[in-house]
Amino acid sequence: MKIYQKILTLILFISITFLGTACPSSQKTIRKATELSAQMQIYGTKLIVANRESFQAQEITLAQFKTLNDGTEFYIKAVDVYRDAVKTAAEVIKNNPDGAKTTLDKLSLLFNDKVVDAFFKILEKLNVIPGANSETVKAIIAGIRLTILAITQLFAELQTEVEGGAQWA
Amino acid sequence: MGLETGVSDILAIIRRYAEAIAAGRLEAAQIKGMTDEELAAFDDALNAKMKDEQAKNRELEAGNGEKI
Repeated sequence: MKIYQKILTLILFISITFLGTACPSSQKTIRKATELSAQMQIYGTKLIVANRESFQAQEITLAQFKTLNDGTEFYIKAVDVYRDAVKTAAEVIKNNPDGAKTTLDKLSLLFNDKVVDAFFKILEKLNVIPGANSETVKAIIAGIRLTILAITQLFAELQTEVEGGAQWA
Repeated sequence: MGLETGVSDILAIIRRYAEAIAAGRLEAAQIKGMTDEELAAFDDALNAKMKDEQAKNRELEAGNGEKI
């Protein structure tokens, strides 16, 4: 898990650093941050529904379902903190364009501390499910890892856009 | 306690997550064409939907497995 966390941190740091220096408009950067917020919620919702369907199909136990729900609830709270931070950053940048890079750096740290951490807490909870069939747990972890990799891909695409000098909107 | 999970069950779970992610990417693609105002409203709507789905899970959990 630590390796994934380091990779995500590096990608996010590079992406946001590029955003702060190469992006012609900080407002477009906030736009991108909002798009990612929406995408995180889309994936989060899909995950929540998949957990419910998995439980109803008897692929996971009630205890495992509850544990996953605890994890997604933590994720939802983290996303709310991130969303509020994006809106706050937008106002700060609007009133003080010179402080954009610092604001965006703080936003990236917040994302890593809150949202990414929430994902890894889901994985930690799975490791302590009492009496869980180990193969079931491994399968669920594999599914969550796919989600993390998908979001990693989103940030990698963001970095590619910045490096290529492509238009954002 | 716990379910007996064979290879087919593991594949079912992984396939379910993979389909969810694929569906999520399709839904995420429509974001690009939105105006800033539309995106803000969409983001708020997504937040409400995510919390609504979470609430359904909690209801199901409290009902000890009764289907919604």
